[in-house]
Amino acid sequence: MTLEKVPLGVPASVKDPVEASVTSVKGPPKGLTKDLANDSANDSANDSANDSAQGFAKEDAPEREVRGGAGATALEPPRYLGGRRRGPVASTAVRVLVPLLLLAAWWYGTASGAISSEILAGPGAVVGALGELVATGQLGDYLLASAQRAGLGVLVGGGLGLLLGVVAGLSALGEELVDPTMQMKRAVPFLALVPLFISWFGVEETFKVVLIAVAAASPMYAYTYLGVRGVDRKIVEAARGFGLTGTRLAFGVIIPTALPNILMALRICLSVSLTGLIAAEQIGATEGIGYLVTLAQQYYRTDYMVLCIVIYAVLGLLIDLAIRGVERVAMPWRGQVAAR
Amino acid sequence: MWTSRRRTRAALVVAALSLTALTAACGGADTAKTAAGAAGGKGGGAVLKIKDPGNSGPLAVAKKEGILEKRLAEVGATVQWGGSYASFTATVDAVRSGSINVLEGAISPVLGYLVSGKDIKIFAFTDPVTDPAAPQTDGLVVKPDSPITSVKDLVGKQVAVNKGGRGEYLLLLALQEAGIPADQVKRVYLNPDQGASAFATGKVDAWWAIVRAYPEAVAKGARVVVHGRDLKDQDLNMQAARTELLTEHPEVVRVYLKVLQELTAEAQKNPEKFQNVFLDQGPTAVSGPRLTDEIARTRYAKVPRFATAADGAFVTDVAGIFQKYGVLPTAVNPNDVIFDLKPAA
Repeated sequence: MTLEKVPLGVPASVKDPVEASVTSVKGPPKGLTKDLANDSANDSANDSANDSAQGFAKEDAPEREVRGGAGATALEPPRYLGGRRRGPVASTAVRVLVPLLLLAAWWYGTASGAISSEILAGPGAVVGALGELVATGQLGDYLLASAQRAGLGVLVGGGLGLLLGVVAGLSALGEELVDPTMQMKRAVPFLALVPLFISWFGVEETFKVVLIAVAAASPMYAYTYLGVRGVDRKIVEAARGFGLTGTRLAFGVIIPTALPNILMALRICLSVSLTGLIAAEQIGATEGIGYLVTLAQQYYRTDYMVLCIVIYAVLGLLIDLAIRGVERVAMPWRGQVAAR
Repeated sequence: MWTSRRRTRAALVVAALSLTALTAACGGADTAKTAAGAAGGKGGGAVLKIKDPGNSGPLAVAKKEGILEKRLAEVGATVQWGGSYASFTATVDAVRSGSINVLEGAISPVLGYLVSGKDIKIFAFTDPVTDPAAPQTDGLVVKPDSPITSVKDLVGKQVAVNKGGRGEYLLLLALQEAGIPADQVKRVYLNPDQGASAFATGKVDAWWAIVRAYPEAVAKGARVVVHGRDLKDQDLNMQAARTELLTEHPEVVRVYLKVLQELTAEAQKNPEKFQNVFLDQGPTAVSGPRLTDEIARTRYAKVPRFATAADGAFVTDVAGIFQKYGVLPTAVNPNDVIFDLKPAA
């Protein structure tokens, strides 16, 4: 096996043909992983390094058998084919184990009197509070109002972050123009902008949506920028070789390759939007799950304070589930190539 | 060169597309807002912007029954009910931005705003409740087993108060009356809801609980050292409005005050109607002993009255305490603060 036969994707730094062939046969080559990981410190680069490394191992395996001589009669499965998956039942059981333990500790702590109800309301009181909110129809109204604000905010802010991230990632001029400002903006806590935004946008919906949008723009920008920068130039070259240019290149190759990062960004944007909701709905709101936090504080209801935390936790789970679903639909190849 | 130019072009196309979409979205929102604004200001009349009245009190009943809407329509004005605010600071921000133009509260918290801005004025005061049978509305609370039994015991202790508000005013007043220099007591600035947590977990030695926090603290077993009513408390409840509303539409504000007076008088006779106005359940609803307490409080509530030049003394006294202890940087001239809304008889 010579250097010419080494597939696309092995950096030129692997100069020694012998070492190259040995590493490509034996599984994930150390030099390769390290080089790519150093190139850009992000998940997708690491993943693609692992992916391609496995690819070589699989491709090269039969070749080794042939060269192995007459003694070999059957195909030998590669030593590493990715982690073995647990069954869905076992996996779910492990998944809910820690939350259940936390719940049990909470229950026991409050029921035994070890934790005073002034400090932490018990699960019974929280379920009672939830029942009240459902009975008055407030829960639905609050969730809907907040979902609209957060949705609009993430759409605008995330959209802008995505756009700027792609621009900065794709073109040097774009990076020079956009990146310093975005890095400055990223360091400004959006909560510091609340008083200014009130005087600019009032206290109505515009203010709330703008606040969430500003909060969501930064993570989306940072992750998209990294993701686009991390796209393997050989993939881009290959796509160009097939005649892809312009928007087709951007939408067909670059953005799908950066998709893991973008979806991670979306996760963070949605979580940040919950923080934004608390800040925004403290001011001039009559409904919303952030407003519920304010109400619980103003009326000294510890049961509602804990209920708010539970609601946020459940929303966090739902956001994660939704993004996992999107990942499965939008990146069907990932299940086959990811390291785990 | 060729590749990078292509890449730049791709980026530009993406940029242009997204920008168009965003502009369209923003444009849509703007149009909607303008339309709503035009509808709100129909007839060119004044708009009273009041924050969310919550679930109890005269304004909550006014909102529920549409009383203000009806009465204001007679003078060509409308009312716009806003949202609620987590703190007084946030409320003041809303007043500054014009999202609220009428607000009620004690004198003390608005002084900080009045020192720097001339855009709101006080047009009505509510005299303090003096009937000894009326439930207390605030107090310096300590834990039941606390060694603190009088204001003098506060020396070297930490006391939670809301900054520049009624809690801090009452503490400073109590210290002054007891002859204790204010710097011998550590004031910990916490909003009422934060104060509640800090007090419950023993992070502060005492807490001047005001408004809703006070009955809550007493219900949880706190011991009261001194009440605001035991002091020479000059911090009256007041109604204030933005200056342009008062000068341009005084008749509208008079209608608002009239409605408030009528409803407060009704509440004295029929206090039950003024609790749990919108909801019997949920975080804003009160029940049990708290409800009984609220009903008693409402029964004794005083009716607000027009502010007069003589009321300047209240403002001067409260501001004097704040200025003496460095809470306010400068004095407040009562003539800049009080608006004479009373119609010439």
